[in-house]
Amino acid sequence: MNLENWQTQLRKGLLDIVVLNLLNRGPSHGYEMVQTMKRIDGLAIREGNIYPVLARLQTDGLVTSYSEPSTDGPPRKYFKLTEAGQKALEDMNKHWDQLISSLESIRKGTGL
Amino acid sequence: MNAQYRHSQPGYLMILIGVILLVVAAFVWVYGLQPLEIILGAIGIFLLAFGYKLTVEIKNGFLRFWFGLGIFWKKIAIEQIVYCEPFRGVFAGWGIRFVWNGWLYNVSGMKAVTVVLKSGKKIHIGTDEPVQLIEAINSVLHGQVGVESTQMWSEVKADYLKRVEQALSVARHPRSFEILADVGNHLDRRFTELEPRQQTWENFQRIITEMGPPSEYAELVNEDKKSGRLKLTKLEMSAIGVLLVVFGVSAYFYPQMPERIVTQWGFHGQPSSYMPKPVGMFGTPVIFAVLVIALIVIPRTASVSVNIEGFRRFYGGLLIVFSIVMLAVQYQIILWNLGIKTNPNVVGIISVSAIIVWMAFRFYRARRHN
Repeated sequence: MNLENWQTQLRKGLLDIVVLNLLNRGPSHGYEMVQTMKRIDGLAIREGNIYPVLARLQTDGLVTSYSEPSTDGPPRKYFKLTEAGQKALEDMNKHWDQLISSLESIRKGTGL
Repeated sequence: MNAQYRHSQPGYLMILIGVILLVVAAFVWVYGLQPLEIILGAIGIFLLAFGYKLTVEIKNGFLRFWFGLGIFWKKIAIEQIVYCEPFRGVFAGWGIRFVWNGWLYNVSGMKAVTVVLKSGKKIHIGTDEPVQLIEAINSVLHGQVGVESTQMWSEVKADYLKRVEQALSVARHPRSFEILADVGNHLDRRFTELEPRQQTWENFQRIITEMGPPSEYAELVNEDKKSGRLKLTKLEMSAIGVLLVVFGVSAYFYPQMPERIVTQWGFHGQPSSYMPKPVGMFGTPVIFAVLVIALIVIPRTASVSVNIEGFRRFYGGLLIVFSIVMLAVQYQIILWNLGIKTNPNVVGIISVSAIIVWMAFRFYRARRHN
């Protein structure tokens, strides 16, 4: 099994929940989110990957965007969670916790 | 101080169209079919006054360009420019339009220069001598230093965006254009963060590698790819609603109409043209129905390189104008033929006003945009 390939796929699969959780801390722009993710072990993504994810979340109504002028370059396009996004994130986090606990029970053999 | 660069490109096609419209307006006027000739004449005069040339000038650290007589002009501080490159769209076209991810100003031909601003916005300026214009901007922007690396970066970036665009064209996500614009801005930001000595081919390639392969973009947007594109906007639903109401009202009054009905009026309000009842009553709504359907379908069949959201805003305005003109014309036809002799000039005033307000709004947006 190619571990690197599995890690890449897992990271891509987690992008939605990671981005939504980052935005749950407050509005942010793509560049900032990429930099934050780069600093977190195992979550570093290719910089361009953030934009299709944000576009999809926007189309789904989970995220909205607005522009703010920046002193050091082009205006920043900020993204923030919508109410639907908040709700979806709660459900996703709940599901994630369940998943982790189920996986743990399999690993420890307690829930079988 | 004399201009460091000044060039006017003639807009022969605009002049030709303007003259043709004025001739047609004069011809139609003879037959008293107003308000058509007023609209055609106004557009003809407008094209002749503003479309006959586009002048670009670089002077005192500013890039300035204006159409025809120069009432509408744009001024950009050269220091606000990140870099410029030849316009990479397939067709520059004519007039003021939203293309790629910026406004295009052009009076003739297929060539233009794309100017990328620090604000992230882009302006495409039509010219028949793009190389000279780029050199003139670069010589003010960089002196003689850095021109080569800026051009190298613009090629590296354009190549990457082209590959992303190709990958996204498979997914056809409604926000593909936004993704391209965001990626372009991201790349511009990365470039501006480089010190001049860091602007090397190796560093450009490293940035591109860190962005990731274009195929991943398509993979990541692939869900719900058509939902946003196919959904009707509120404006489109309103236009369809207006159409249905007009069809309904026309059908309701249809039995009370005479066999031949007045559909056009002369300058003094006298009837000048009659038509058989079915054509007279449903001709206008059918024509407008075709236009509305075309305006709803066109943005949805466009390729990814077209800004769907920008198109929708543009077509949204047209839909409103069409709806107002159709309502006014149908209102006049129905009331007059029912025996209520309303003043047909009101229709002309409403139609011309709607078109003028829309054109003024377009110009206001175009001037304000950057």
